[in-house]
Amino acid sequence: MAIPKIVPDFRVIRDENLCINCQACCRVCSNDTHSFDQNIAKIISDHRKCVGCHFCEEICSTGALTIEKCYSQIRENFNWNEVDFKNLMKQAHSGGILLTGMGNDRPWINYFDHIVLNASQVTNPSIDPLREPMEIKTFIGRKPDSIEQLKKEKKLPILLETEIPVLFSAMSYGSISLNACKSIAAAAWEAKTYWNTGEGGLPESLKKFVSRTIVQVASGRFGVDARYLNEASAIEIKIGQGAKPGIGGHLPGEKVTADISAARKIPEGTDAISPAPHHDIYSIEDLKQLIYALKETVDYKKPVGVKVAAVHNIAPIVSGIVRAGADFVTIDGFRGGTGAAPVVIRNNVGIPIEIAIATVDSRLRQEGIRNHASIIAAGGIRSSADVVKAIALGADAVYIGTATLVALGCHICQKCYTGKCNWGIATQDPYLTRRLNPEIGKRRLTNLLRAWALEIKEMMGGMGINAIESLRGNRDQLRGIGLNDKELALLGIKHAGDAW
Amino acid sequence: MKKRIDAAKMDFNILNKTLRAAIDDGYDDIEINNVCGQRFICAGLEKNITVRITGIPGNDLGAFLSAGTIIVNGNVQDGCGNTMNGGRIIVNGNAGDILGHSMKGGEIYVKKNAGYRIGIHMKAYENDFPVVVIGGSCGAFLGEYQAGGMIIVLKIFDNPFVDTFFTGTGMHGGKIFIRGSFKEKNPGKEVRTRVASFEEMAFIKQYVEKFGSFFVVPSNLLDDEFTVIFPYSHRPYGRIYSY
Repeated sequence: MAIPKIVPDFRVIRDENLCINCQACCRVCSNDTHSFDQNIAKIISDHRKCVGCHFCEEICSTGALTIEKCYSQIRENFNWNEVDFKNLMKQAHSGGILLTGMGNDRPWINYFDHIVLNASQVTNPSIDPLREPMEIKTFIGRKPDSIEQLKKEKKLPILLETEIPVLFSAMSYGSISLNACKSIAAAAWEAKTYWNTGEGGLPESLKKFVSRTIVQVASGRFGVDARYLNEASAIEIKIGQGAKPGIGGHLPGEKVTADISAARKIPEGTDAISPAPHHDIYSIEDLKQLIYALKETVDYKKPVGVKVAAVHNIAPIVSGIVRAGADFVTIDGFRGGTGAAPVVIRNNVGIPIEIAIATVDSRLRQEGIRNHASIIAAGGIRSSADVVKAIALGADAVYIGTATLVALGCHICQKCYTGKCNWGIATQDPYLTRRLNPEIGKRRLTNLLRAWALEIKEMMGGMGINAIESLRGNRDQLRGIGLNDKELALLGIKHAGDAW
Repeated sequence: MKKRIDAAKMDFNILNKTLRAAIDDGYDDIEINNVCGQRFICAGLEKNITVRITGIPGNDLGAFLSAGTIIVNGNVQDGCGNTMNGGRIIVNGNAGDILGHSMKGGEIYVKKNAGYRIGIHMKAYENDFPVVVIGGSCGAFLGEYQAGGMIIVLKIFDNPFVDTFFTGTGMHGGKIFIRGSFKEKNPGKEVRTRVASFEEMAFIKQYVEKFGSFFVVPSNLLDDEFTVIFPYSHRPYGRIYSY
């Protein structure tokens, strides 16, 4: 039978007038897209191998290369779009679960893009953040019930203090390179925020940033011991991830190099399997048990949080988690990224973070336990506007993952699972990882946080708000555009044009 | 230095606080009496001391344990030795479910039977080599997802309430030794079995002898044949994905 080939995703356009045959593109591409043909003394590009990471395009000194979408089109069909068609073809060939990287790329509604912010006009003054003090320092953890309680106990619960309500999301050493981890950890240290180890353990060379580190305890328990828990600033129990709610993770054996095996404390070359559930947590009561096992281990000196994916019952789930004793709850929406997840899970499971934050915040307020834990929102935060909207919807702070990697060079080609990242991020190949200079990476990330801090202050000032505390859950500052009544009710906001 | 703590009607966090204070005061042989369900005893212990427990400790005894010896005169509940990476737990009785969950190092000895999912996700790294020895038998999913270390089941005491199924499901490292033949009808798909070799018997000898030194058990256990259950691949799920 005639076996159909899969049409390539991209086309490499080479301007022959500009190309000087330096072969830099041939040397850098980890997917071997470009090769020099001795017979015709020309560089040939195999479109099929291109993943669209644009690395060659950016390093080409003469600007001869352009990567374009391949326009070979199947007959237009509303039901059979190009992506579904190609995926089906790949599976007919391989018989396996299709993998992908990064967050959900489907055109689901993005509520952040349907929410607008308020600004002061006449009735109250706006504030100029350039000349007046603006407070965006954020405290994460359990807050006292009342001032009376605080006076009686005479001490605050253990809190994380961050200069900006933006933390770096959990990305393990293994899913990303050590240079990427170093950039992130050093940036968190310098910007006085936090980074998260993910489930990769804490490599020896990153221990100097330990006082700005949130360590994760996930179902595989890789690299977890009393020392790891006691050194960190906070502990996060990972139950779920927005990109793959309900399923576990497999770091393939070929990625478990000597250094990674040392950080995760598993033999080299063995699959690092994180089961879908924690096998000591089958209920909220069991979760409470792990939370207190960790709190006992660190003698109640560190906040213990829980990370869950945003799913249908997120509000009652988070209520249960807070009642189980978590000091903070991380909610990861369905646009959250991943190093590897089945396409079908990433694209179809979970709910948007905007709805999750709003419903959780409302539920916890109704139950009078909102102060018992902080909410960290994750999954699809792209800009400072998203940060402000997330906080106004009810989050205490946000985690950024994809945004962090984009700042380090990532072009969201979604091929993290191949381990061939040309940008030196999602790879362990020393030839590729040395392309990412941790010093420059750190600078780019601190730049990003500085820029966002300035913008957050501008937006707050415009609303006449001078402290992030006054913005939290302040949904009066938000209005929806193009949303139906149900969506507005769930988000707890009015439609644009509705006055106070 | 010896110290005695009476845990009667004491809440778990008070008991653990008392215990931590005693350890900080330099006591290295601590006896806790009248324990009745208090959880997290010795969680995260990092000092090389001995803790003797009389009664029934609650869940997560010795969770995240790094050093020291815990001796229990009684049964233990679920999650004993959860994510422990050093030290030793000796149980003079039965154990509940998920004994030694994600254990990375250290040793656990249980005189009688143990529940379900024993040694789930045990792993090993260089000198960290976790060992679980069970005198009786175990419930289903023994050594599930096991990635390293060793589980020895001596079958001295039969447990009529526990049936063994799915042994070694998802196993991709380490070994399980069972005294006698292994007749399970429904073992995990990822494991194979064979008779233990001479070298393997020599290796488990020290642990079986240690077990014999803690409890009164027949001395000729090693004369019997042992079955080894081992994974056929370090990458059981390597082929379910397409790129």
